[in-house]
Amino acid sequence: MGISLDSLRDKNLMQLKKLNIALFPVRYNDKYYADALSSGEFTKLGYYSDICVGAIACRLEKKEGGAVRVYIMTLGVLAPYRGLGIGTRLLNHVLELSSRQNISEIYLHVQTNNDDAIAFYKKFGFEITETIENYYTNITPPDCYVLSKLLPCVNSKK
Amino acid sequence: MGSSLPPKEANLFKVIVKSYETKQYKKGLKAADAILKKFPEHGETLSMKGLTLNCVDRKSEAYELVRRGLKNDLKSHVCWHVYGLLYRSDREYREAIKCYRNALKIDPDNIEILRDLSLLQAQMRDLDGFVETRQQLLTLKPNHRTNWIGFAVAHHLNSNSSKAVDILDAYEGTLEDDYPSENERCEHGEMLLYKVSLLEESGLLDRALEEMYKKEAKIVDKLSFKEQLVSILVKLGRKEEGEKLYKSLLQMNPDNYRYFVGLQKCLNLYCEDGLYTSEQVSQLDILYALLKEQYSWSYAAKRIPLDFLHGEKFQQAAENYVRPLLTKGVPSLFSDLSPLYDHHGKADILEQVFIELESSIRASGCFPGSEQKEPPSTLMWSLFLLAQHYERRGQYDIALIKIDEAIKHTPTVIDLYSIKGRILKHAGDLAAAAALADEARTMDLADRYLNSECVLRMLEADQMKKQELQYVDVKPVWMSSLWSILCLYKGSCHAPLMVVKAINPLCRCYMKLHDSPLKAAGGEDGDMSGLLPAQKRKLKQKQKKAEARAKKEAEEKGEEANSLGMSKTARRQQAKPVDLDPHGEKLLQVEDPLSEATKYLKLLQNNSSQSLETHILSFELNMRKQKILLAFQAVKQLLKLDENSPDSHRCLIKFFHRISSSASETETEKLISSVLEAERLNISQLHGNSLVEVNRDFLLRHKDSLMHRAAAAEMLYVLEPDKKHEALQLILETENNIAPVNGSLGPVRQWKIEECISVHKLLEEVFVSPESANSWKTHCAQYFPYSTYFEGLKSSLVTGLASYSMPENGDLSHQVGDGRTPNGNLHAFKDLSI
Repeated sequence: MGISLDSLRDKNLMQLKKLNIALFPVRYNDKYYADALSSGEFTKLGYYSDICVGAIACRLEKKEGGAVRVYIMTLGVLAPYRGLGIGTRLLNHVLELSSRQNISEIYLHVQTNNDDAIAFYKKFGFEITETIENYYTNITPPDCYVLSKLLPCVNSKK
Repeated sequence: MGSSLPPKEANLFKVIVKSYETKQYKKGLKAADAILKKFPEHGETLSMKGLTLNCVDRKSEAYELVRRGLKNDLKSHVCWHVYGLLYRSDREYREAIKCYRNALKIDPDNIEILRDLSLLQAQMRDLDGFVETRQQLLTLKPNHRTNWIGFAVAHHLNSNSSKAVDILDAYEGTLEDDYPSENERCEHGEMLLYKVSLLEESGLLDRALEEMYKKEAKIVDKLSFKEQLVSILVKLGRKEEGEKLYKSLLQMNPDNYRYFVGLQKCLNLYCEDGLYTSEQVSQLDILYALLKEQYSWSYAAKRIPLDFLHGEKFQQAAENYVRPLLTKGVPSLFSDLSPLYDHHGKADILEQVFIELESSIRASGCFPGSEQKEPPSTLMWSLFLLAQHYERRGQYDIALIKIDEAIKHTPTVIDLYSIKGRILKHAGDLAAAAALADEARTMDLADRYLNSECVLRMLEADQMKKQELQYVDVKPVWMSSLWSILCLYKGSCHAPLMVVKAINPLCRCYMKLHDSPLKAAGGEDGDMSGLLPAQKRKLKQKQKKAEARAKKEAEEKGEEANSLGMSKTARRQQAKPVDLDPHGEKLLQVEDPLSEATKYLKLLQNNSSQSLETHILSFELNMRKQKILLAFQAVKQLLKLDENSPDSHRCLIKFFHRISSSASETETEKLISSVLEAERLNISQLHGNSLVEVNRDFLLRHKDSLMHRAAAAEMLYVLEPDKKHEALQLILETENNIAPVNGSLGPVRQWKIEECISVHKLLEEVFVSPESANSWKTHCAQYFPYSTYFEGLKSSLVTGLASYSMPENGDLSHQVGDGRTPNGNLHAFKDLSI
């Protein structure tokens, strides 16, 4: 059974919405979807034998000085389809794309009790760099970690 | 062309023609204006300018200019040709042909005009004319292959296949021996195959065969060659050779059902109705076991045995067939299996198979008896299959449970939403069905099928306003598909189902118009005055719906009427690119709705004479028109087609009741009644029986069927109006028995929702008995809890539509909203193991 990735477009935006409804106890606003759409290749839908079962959605952020960093807004795979390597494919895609484009920093927030997610990101070289208290409202625990990873530049500019 | 102009302008004229052909209309108009500046009355330029304007949607100017151009230069074949082209663009083909003919009077050998003329002659089925024109073209340019083939095709269409063969033979005679050259081989081969098919068609099988063997080397399309060859061999009874050929064809494509059927025919193992003897079944079983082995990739070899196997063997084969398709995820699996539901007992077996597969997957993640872990999607596809199974069984509540579970499992699969919509539709909740279809549509905005389906569901749910928004977008697709179907079927004897479907309601609308003309036309008339205000309102609503439908239908009809060469009136209704009559008001202002309806009825009678509906329409129409003998003809047809149908019964009783209650006065009427007296003897039901007795017999014969009881009750009321109460009891006392199929999850009942709705309408409109209608409604609401019509407790009317369209973005209560974190950043990785 094959795994494949596809870009997010306005025509299939509903697929991402359906995924998010199923995956997260959070309602995402229009800005989230606008950011996802404008991030281009940094947002991808993951397909398992032609069924859309997961997605990674990123936002590109300008740092002071003009450099760009990637913020992973969401990454998730539908429960029955976990453990098949789809999340890995999605994250690897973003990591590779980032280093190809000489982006040096990639980060995300994760709820402090989400051990599985933390372990998952650590495997890819992410480290906890900060703890923010009361980041979330309405869910417990309300605290989150900032996980980030610095990417080596592949081909330094001359 | 443009010959009367000085060189500079003559060149400009060429520019106009060239620009028209290359669709550079602006450039063409510029050039035309440049000429007209100097020669404002130049006929050909005026015409060409008009033709160009026609292409940029300035129709009225176009006609004006083309006509003025023609008036200024009546002797110009260009002006006439242009006039013809203009008419053709408006599908006024007869007018166009007249113009072409005038052009040809001036320039008889003009190839382009001849070619245009021949196309329209073919379009209008003027086949003799078509042959003549093609002959002229061939005489003018005998060195073009197309002209030979065109001439042959003309004769072929004109039912003269042998003449067509002669022409192709003559054409071959003009060729050198080393023909064809490398780049012409394909076309030449096609011509040869065409010739062979003509020979086959005219029954010259030996000659066809001889020709095939002789020309084999020159036929490039080897697949068609084999198909053609095997068809001839089988017709010649050479079955052994046929068998070999079919096997080699299966080697090329092991999923072509026709090859399997052909092979079976060669082995004398085929019958049309699929009712094989047990000996034949075991022979077929052996045959397909072999074929399965030989063509291991073939789905057809695994699917076909499901048609002839029974019992345990069927169960085995079905399970083996279904398993890999569930693993692979084939959304069309149920439609593939659905014909089996008409076979006795197979639905039960399938249900058992599906349930076993589902529970095994749920328990172990594997199919029964297998160690192989199934992919996660298999459970979803199994639920999807089960949902459709229960839908087919009429067990809508279970179907909905299954489909909802599938959606919860994988909420991104669009087919799940489409099917849920269909289940709700059949369960009677049209509004919810439309909501689901719309949800499916939003999930892939680029999918035209989903878009059309959504529009259809909204039309069904009468959500006209919403639908209008998208309608514009979809219409062209519908139209073109309808049109292309018609093109294909035109001239052949069976009408496409779609047209029949469209014409029927149209005729009924015309009849309704006749029965109760619009308020504007005649005010409140007798038909409505006896009704309660609420009913009047309902009637009007219904009329409005009918109007809307009539409009839509008529648009489609316009297209079709043209292509079939219908009357002028029909043509007037044709769908223009811009709908000039968006609310169908003009359409409703027909002077004589019945004669309009008659026109369409004729189409039906010509094209679908085997359908009950056609004759029911004919009956109702002719009764209204007082055409007694034509109505009687319809009754006879109905009895011949199906004397047990409730509608046939209705027409029979209504007819003779009407005859007996009207006295014949004039000579003609007396003549008619004597004809009917004689004919009456030929109708077995009526022998020595009064109509009341006929009706009673009918009831006794079909006392367990709702629709038959309703018909008998209605006729009882017609025959003996004072027995209204008895008639109503007949309907209300009908029992909704359990169907003789054994659903393992709850009983399946016999009543169909559409039937119950029509009974409700009967009670309301014919019996005009609000109490009975109401008690029927309450009664039906129990059986059809999802029905909005009956206001069932589970319908969206009661529960609210919101429950069917999920909130856009999940649960609001969990919103993350402290401004600092606009995008809740949660990562769904519980249980993640990589």
